[in-house]
Amino acid sequence: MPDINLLNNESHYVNLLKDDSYEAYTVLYKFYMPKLYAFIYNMTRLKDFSEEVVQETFIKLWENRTTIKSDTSFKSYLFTIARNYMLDEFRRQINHPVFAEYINYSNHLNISENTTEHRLDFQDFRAELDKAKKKLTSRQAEIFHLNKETGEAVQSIALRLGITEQSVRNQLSTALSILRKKMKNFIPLFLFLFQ
Amino acid sequence: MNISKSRIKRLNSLFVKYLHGVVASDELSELQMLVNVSNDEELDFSLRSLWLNNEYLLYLPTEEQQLRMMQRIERSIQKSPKAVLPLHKRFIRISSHIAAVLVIGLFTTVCMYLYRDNRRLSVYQNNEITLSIGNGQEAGFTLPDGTTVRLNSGSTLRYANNFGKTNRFVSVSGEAFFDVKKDETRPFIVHTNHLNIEVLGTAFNVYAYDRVDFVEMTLLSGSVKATSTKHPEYQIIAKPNEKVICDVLTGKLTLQKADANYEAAWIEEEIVFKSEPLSRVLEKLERKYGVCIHYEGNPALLNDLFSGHIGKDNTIDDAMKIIAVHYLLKYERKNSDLFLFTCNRE
Repeated sequence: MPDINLLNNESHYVNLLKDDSYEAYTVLYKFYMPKLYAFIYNMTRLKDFSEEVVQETFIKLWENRTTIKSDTSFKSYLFTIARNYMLDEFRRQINHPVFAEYINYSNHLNISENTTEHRLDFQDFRAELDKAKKKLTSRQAEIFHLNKETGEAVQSIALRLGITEQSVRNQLSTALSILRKKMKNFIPLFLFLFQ
Repeated sequence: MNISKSRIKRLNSLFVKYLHGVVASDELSELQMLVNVSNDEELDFSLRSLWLNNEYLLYLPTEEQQLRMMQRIERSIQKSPKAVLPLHKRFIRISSHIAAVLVIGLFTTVCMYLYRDNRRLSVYQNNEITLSIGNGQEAGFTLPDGTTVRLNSGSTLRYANNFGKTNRFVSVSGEAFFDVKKDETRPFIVHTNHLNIEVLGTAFNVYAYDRVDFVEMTLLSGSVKATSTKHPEYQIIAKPNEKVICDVLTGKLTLQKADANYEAAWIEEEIVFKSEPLSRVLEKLERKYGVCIHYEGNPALLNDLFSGHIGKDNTIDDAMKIIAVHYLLKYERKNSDLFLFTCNRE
């Protein structure tokens, strides 16, 4: 059974590419570009960044075409180029305070509707959230940030700000209802982030 | 390289879930923890095997994204051929001691719509900086290399965050005036949809609005190389008071005589019309003043050639009244909607 992950006659095209063939280059990049994009997007959840990495990877491939080594597979060689751009960004993303909420939200979308129209990358998500947060008072924003974005407990927030726990909870629930109204296009999000 | 087998195994199984969009909250925080204690080699080891052995069908790029990536890849690798160099060298010699003013014009065929937010500066994740000017506005600013730019109404300028490091590359849609800082080691390249312009320390004007049939470029002084983006083999080196016209459909370039002072008049905040069809006059006014003009007169008049001059102290009402009187039309205004219609003499 042919492996769908590999291009038929791949080594043939790689050899042609080493001999400067632009046609072979286009065959290879048309086959691998969507796969590489999907992989990088799944890693970083950043649309513009993923496009950029794909472009840089294939531009580098063309620049280094004559020195491609034959001891690793071509697919592995592509990974080596892309990896250098991708890893730092992935580390940054996975450590971002609201990334976990975003992943919950986007996984939920995939299960429930599976449409590309609802595809919202992490950058868009943060922009929407920041925009909605502008409608909060500074105290509300502070409490929302401490509780939802850094995971600090209500008791600890109350102690730190010198107010009662009930007052923290009231502020939080007002903040959430304001955000909910502002971000009504992204309702599934609130199943997770703001429960 | 010291790779912990059990950690890699756990990383692998978490990455599989993560990449397939089914990772649970507690698993994600475990993955975060593991990623933070792993070095790049360990992550490479795990991710490489996933890349080699799996197909990721979630979040494939859209058609539009694929096209965009292909165009950028192709544009970028076409920049490098050595064959361009001799021409380029010749070009340096021609233009090194003169300032050039260049105008690229496009005939718009569709009414431009108003933007709500007139002026936007945004920095994207991919480190591209975009400056957009809405209709009825102009703005001036300075690029990182010291080049000054004026953007006319309804225009956009884009450049990479690392602009000036190895090259000086900007994209323009609309109209812009550049006073380029001289630097013979880093050519200044202006990209428009249909025409690439390469200069080295010179002043020039770009007129390249979207949705057009022809792209024009007029040079005041100095020398500039214009290349058709569709067919890079079409290249013309323009001299003062020459106009390069690029046919958007075929990508072909032709050379004509032109009056460049008239093309660049907008910098003085004037509009000059010289035997231009009324339809194009109205389009220019729409952009310049940020209004929408509804023409309800005799359609044949739209091809009539109009000549005139609108100074910077004139309002759009002044301009419209002149046109109305000239063509025996009636003029009315509702906010930014302007109406020109036939007088009914009973």
